[in-house]
Amino acid sequence: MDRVPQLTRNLLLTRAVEVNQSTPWASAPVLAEATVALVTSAGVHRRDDHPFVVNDASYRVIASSAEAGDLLQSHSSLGFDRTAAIADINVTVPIDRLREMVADGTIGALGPHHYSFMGAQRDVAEIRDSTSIEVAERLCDERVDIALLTPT
Amino acid sequence: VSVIARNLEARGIATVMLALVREHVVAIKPPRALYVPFPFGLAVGRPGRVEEQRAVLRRAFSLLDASSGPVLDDYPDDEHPDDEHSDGSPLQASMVHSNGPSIDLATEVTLMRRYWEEQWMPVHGRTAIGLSGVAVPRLRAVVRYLENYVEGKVAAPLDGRDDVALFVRHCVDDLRSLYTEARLASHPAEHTDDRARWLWGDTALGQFLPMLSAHMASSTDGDTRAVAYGIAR
Repeated sequence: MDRVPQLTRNLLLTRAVEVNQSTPWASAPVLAEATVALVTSAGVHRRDDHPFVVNDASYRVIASSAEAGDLLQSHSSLGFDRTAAIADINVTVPIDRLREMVADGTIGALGPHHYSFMGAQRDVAEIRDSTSIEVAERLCDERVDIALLTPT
Repeated sequence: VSVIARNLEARGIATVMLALVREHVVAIKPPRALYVPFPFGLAVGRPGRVEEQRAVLRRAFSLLDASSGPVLDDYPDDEHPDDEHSDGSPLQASMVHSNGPSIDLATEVTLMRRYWEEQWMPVHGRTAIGLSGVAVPRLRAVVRYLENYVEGKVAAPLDGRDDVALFVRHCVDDLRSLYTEARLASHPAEHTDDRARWLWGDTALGQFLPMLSAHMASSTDGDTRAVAYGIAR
């Protein structure tokens, strides 16, 4: 953060975020026996899915078998360099790295789907109170044990 | 993603997240977070650096060994990937002196398309282009559409959708992806700041987008003004 321009830093650090005193806690199974899914706020989605719009609280479902070429990013922010994700989607959505970790036995399996939200949200109320709960329930139905979350 | 992590965890799914803004994690208290001192857009590591990305993910997953939380770990700062990437946010149009383009936008797009077809696609076989729904061979039609739009001649989007401002935004994203992929193919080792200086300083697109953004910012429609901010600044 100390390398981010002052304007961006002020914007981020003065953003109203909730302050919590406690933390929910679920015990994790052994990674090598666990089913893992990816949840990201990178604003990626299937090529044929609806792009995200600014401050979009909805989410997109991506098959965990999707390849980089199957995905598009419709993130609204100019605050990050998109070149990196164009060159290699794994910089923010590590789909290939996770498959490799399954292949080498580090991770037990991947769930059927990964889930994607839009980042750079000014108001997270709808995500917190509605759409992320939907995603949590879907992940439970899909017997996912562990979620890896990545930001942009 | 901190608030999402808390909701997942509350329903029995163990979560581990990568974090780019440490201060937010300290306040929101997700169960397990690895702070990575990397630029925005690079939470997992630099493009193509497979071992670096694996090391970040291994360290993140190691937080699952903790028996109670919240857990906030810091990835070593001396490994931050800043050599060919901007230290902070990317350079924006207003930060770059324009040298003036040597050719018109439509001709330039055709030139970029040639780089893209001959040097990007054969090597990578995938593209970030596609949000506008307009195929690459028709991107010159996108240029005409945008040039007319700036002159106040608003037509229905070419993709059959009805939201003009969003279509304009997606056209811009696709043109920028075309230019980025063409430039990555022809100048693979270029620093990200130099690539931004090229786009905003040397290309017809870099001249056109601030005009388009200013045109949209003067709109009476709030959604159009919101889109303007994401096109150039």
